[in-house]
Amino acid sequence: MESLLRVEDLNVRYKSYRGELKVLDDVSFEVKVREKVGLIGESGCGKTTLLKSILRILPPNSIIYKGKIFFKNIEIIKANKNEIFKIRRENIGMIFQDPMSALNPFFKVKDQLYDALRYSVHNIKSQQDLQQMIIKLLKEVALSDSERILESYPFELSGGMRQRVCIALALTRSNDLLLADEPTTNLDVTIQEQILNLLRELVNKRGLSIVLVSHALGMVKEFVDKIYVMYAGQIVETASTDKIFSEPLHPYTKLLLSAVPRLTGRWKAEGLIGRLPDYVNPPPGCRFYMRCQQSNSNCKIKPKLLKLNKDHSVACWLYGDEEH
Amino acid sequence: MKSLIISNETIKFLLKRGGSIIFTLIGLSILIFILARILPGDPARMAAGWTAPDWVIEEMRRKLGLDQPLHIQYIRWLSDVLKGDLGFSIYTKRSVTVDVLQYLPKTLELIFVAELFSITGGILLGILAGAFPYRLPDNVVRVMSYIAISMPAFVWAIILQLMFARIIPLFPAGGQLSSHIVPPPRITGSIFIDSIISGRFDALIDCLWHTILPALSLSFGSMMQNARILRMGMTDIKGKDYMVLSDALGLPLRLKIYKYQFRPASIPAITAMGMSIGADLGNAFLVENVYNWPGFSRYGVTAMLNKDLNAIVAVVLVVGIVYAIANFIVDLIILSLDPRIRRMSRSV
Ligand SMILES: Nc1ncnc2c1ncn2[C@@H]1O[C@H](COP(=O)(O)OP(=O)(O)OP(=O)(O)O)[C@@H](O)[C@H]1O
Ligand SMILES: [Mg+2]
Repeated sequence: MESLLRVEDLNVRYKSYRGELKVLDDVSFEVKVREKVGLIGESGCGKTTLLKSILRILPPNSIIYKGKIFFKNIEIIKANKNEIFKIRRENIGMIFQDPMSALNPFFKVKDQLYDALRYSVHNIKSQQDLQQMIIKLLKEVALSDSERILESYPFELSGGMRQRVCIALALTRSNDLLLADEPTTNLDVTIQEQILNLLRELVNKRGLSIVLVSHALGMVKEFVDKIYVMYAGQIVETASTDKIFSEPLHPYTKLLLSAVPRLTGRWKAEGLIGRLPDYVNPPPGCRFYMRCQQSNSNCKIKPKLLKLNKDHSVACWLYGDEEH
Repeated sequence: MKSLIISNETIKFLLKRGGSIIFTLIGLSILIFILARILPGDPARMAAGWTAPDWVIEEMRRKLGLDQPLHIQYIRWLSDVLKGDLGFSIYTKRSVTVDVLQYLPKTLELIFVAELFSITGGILLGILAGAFPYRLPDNVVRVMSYIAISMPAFVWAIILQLMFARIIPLFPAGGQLSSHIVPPPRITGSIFIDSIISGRFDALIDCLWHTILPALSLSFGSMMQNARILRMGMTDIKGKDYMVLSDALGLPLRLKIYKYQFRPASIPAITAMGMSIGADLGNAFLVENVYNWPGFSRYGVTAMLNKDLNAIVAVVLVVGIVYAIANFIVDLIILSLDPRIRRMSRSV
């Protein structure tokens, strides 16, 4: 399959009063055309940071220290404003972590959808065009009572409805790729599955690629083709979904899988012993070193992400150590 | 705006606000009524004159009703006020109602123009600074606001008068109308309105010309205050998830700033604008003095200095009413801007 998005050795840092937080560390990441990719890792490991760098919507205190991001043939980090805006309006849609805060409370759903459509690739010739397109869009995300929804303000809708509106907004953009940043974490358990099913249906129907960030491993397992496991800003393992669940290699992946998330979808503190390292002075080698049961002296040197076979790579000294 | 007129919540909100204003004004009147009477100084002696013998003073006290218990005095005063009579001024020797009608419109004119400056200027500078935080426009606005806020209005009044009336005589140095202009016939007491009604545009322009310097000096502080608060609101909103989303959608910068960022950011600024009207009314006194402006603030201070009880109470009450009206208007604007207040009664 053809590559759609390729992130190479991306390093993103945040300026803070304590010094630079070196969050993303040499992250490499690939999404192919029509591929469904899962990104998992505990809270604070840099998943949102990675997704935001793809659209260049990182907060102002961030620094893209090093790395390249290719979308189709465009190098996103070097791209000019017009190219970036074109990608944001035509190619990549993003769904945010918290539907409660992702919509502007001062404007009706109608306003926000209108403006999104007005500045998109969709060829809108008249007000009727716009109206029809919106109703079609709402139908697609299974919001049936479109009259009422359009006239509502975001705070008048339930969490699930809001997330559907957010998905509709993302759909106005995503002709190629959908970035879904924990689309279900802040929703009721009963609604989580509905939203995920909706996403799967849309992605299949429209032939999109998706990056799905989620803590709900059970749902990720059924959704995606390939999984990246991230720890403290580093990709520690990547493999096909089957491989990750059947033969996880990295000690962190094993730990993550054994700490079965509760119904809430969040990993509990007791499930994951220890904490993420401090990003101001992260360990120079493997960032998981301090928490790892199987660590040895090699671990003070950074392991490369090593390709063990066609679809399984791991960054750990326990595997193929001569080749690092 | 349609929903503003129709919605039940809106009507309920307005009634509640209206009720609380009346309640506040009654409280304010009682407070100032008592305060004015327990402060040192004997109004009867001041009214009768320093050299008057004791029995004349006692006579005066009876005449003014000051020999009665406080609550009787208040009830009498209140029933007069409801009939539109604010009592007799021992200093101007006229009805306080007449005084208020003469002086208040002049100050309202000044305040009106000053607020026009401070609101438009505050909004423009606030957006500029807030859209580009820590860049040149923001830094300029910050320095300007330090200077403007730390200097009282009367200092600005003196500086502006010196610069633009004396050294470079672009504007008149004082008064409200030039001596060669015949004042328009008195209808409302406001020269602006009277000259518009009677078609006297020469008087209108001349009066506006006289208003510019005092209004500017009065507006600087609150203008920069408004700009700062709007700037803070703008940067606050900039970091919100929904602004990141509008970035992710690739919405144009103009739409993002003027629509999605400005409206939420304006709420605290508008509230501050309402408050600043009250403060400006107080500051107006010294500015009126510098520019020899025949206004209400000067009248108020004279009343205080002369222990002119009815006038003091009336001045404070009128300031309270102006303040309440300003804040009521602010509430209306916020109501029309913020749907959460308009529609949330169900969930809050
Ligand atoms: N603007 C910022 N300034 C400073 N630090 C930041 C900023 N944004 C994120 N961080 C830090 O970067 C790290 C990674 O954050 P990020 O939001 O990417 O994590 P995440 O994997 O998405 O976590 P979660 O599952 O909680 O959403 C965290 O330690 C976070 O505190
Ligand atoms: Mg996140």
